[in-house]
Amino acid sequence: MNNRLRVLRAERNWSQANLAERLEVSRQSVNAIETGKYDPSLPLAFRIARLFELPIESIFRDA
Amino acid sequence: MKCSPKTQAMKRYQTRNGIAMGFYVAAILASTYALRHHHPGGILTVLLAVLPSVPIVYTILLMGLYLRQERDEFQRSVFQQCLLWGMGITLALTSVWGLLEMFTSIPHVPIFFTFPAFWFFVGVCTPFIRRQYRSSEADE
Repeated sequence: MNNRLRVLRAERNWSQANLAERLEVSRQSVNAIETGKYDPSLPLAFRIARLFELPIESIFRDA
Repeated sequence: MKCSPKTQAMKRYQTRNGIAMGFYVAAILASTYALRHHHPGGILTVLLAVLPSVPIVYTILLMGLYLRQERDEFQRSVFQQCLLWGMGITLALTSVWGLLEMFTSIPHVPIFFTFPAFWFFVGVCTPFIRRQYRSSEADE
């Protein structure tokens, strides 16, 4: 699954650690999601969408 | 790559697991010494023989507890993969060795070694599993 997490994070000048703190996950989790090595669960995807105030489908795309 | 701080659940798990392992080693040494030097006999022999299994069962319960308490789903997933690889390799090796023991003359290895072997393989697999999630592009 592709995602725009890195771009969205960069637009807000957040580091991976900043984003991880906001999502209450580890920085490794953010890194793994950004690089497409780990697909988040639906609850975590919703949390990400809420944080960026965007619909899930505009952040995550089926590869 | 800088290591991120461990999650609270992982810290708790590692502390409890470390204590349990300490009890495990102490129980092995105490049971072995008592059984070899004092030959208690009867029910006491049975109790001393199974004493080290108490911390073993506890560490298995701790794994389940960690998986329930870990709120970081990615860390939970990595831990599960490490356990699965450890279990898979241990089951495969013990099965092959068991069959060889039945049909050939290779030396007998006590089942007791299954648990340390499992942790050994979990330990060997963990860095390889973690490495596949590392990225050179990671920022801090």
